[in-house]
Amino acid sequence: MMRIITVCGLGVGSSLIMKMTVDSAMNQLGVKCSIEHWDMGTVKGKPCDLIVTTEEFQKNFQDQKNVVYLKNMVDVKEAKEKLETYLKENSLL
Amino acid sequence: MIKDILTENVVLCDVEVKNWREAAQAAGGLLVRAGKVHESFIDSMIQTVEKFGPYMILVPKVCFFHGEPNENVKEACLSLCVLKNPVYFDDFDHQQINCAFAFGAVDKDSHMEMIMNVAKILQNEQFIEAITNNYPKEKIMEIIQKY
Repeated sequence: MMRIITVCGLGVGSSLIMKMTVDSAMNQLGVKCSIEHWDMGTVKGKPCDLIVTTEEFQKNFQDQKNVVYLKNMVDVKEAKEKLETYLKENSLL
Repeated sequence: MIKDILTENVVLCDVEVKNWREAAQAAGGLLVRAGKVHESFIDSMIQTVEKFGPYMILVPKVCFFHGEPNENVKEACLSLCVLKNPVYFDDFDHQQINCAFAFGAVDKDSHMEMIMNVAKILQNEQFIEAITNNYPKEKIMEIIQKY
């Protein structure tokens, strides 16, 4: 099962919202996954297959390839499109 | 339900502020006056932006200010300030916001249900239209009543 982590600054608001959006999007894509939400400080070193965060944090993940960035955190359609592209590019879908 | 949280006393429209810090203070001030957070929570919301940038713009033009979950927050809470004129994060990438939520949490995830409802109402295009265009408060409260 795919492990996804959603990340924001404090790990209490935006990351939780993204967790719900990603959950809906992955359901629609029919891909089973577990999703955790963390803050920027503790996410480093957490094992996962994919990180989902906001565009504001692009600079924090420059050295990582398994990251999807959202512009609108409640937009399931945007999340679905970006996740679908990522999954296809990595032969996961 | 959002209508039980975003009550009349924590929703303000036509708010005049000069910059994003004042927007955070206005939204946070509503929570202070409602007795939900301590004054220092407002500083925590501003520091979060200073530290990480305005990542809490959940939907374009909609800012969701929040601070560190700690003893400054008495219970999970939310307020909304709809701005008369937009303000900009001019010390960052100049992102524009037309409204500001202030969100207080006591821990990492006990407010899960509240956040689920926030996500739902933010998916309502009419609501986004209303809060990013300074609609009258009655109109905004009317939509809130459905959530």
